[in-house]
Amino acid sequence: MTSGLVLPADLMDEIDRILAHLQHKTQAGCVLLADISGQLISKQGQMRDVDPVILAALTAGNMAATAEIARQINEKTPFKLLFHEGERQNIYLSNVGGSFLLVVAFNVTVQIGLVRLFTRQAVKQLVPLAEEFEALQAQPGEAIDADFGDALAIEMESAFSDWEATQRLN
Amino acid sequence: MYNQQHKAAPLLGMTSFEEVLHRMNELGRFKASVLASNDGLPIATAPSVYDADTAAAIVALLQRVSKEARDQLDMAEVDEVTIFDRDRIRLVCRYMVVDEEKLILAVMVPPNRYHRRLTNWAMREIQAAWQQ
Repeated sequence: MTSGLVLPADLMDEIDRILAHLQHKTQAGCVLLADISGQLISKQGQMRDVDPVILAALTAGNMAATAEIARQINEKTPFKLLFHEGERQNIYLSNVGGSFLLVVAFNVTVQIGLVRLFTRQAVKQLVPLAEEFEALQAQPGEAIDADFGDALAIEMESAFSDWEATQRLN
Repeated sequence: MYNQQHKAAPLLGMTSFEEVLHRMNELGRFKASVLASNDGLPIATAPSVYDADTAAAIVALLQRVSKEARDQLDMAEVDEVTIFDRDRIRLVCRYMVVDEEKLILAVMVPPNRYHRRLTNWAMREIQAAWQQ
């Protein structure tokens, strides 16, 4: 499941695979990867009456708010993780390389140690992918599929040659 | 031996780690078992009603004490820590490393019961479950 962000298919597949593995191991209801602005990148699982897009945006806001708390207590970097305990559902948020966050929503019957352990493993795997993604975003032209450039050139050439032919006839 | 007997159908609603603990408890007639992380958080527990939070925190505390003893007394890696109570019930803590993660398997063993082979089997199964 992807958002509006343009990502190469292989990178997206790898992210999906890591999130699916995390969801399987932790039996989480829902696992999301979002960027720090709250834009949803990928999700696995579905919770009843939960909109993943809204959840991603809210958790990003939550992370941003606690970054200020970290600063207030003289932490040099934002907190790496946040954990919210509910009556029926818990949520575990983890920073991925500073620009992304991983959200794991799970039932209270799932042990926190299990979620923490496998989330840490997933973050380890996601960090290099996040760096790759950031590099792609830094070069917007490169993020567009190479075939798109070729197709555009062909179409433009065709359009202009038609236009030139029309002009000559006139 | 244990593998053949206890590769039974998965137990509904349990994680693979909980299944291993559940089967180990059944075989050894152990009162309870907990798999905890090195920082004292529960990963799996059997039976599920057991106070896993406290047990995991305690076994991690024992792990830190045993590490201190090992460092101070220049001992090799600690393999097992056991506490006996007056009724001869034992709290056995076994240490393992899986995929660079330090884990603790803690078991409440009744009097006159062996635990070593079963906990060895459980540790192998936990490693296998981790890789799945």
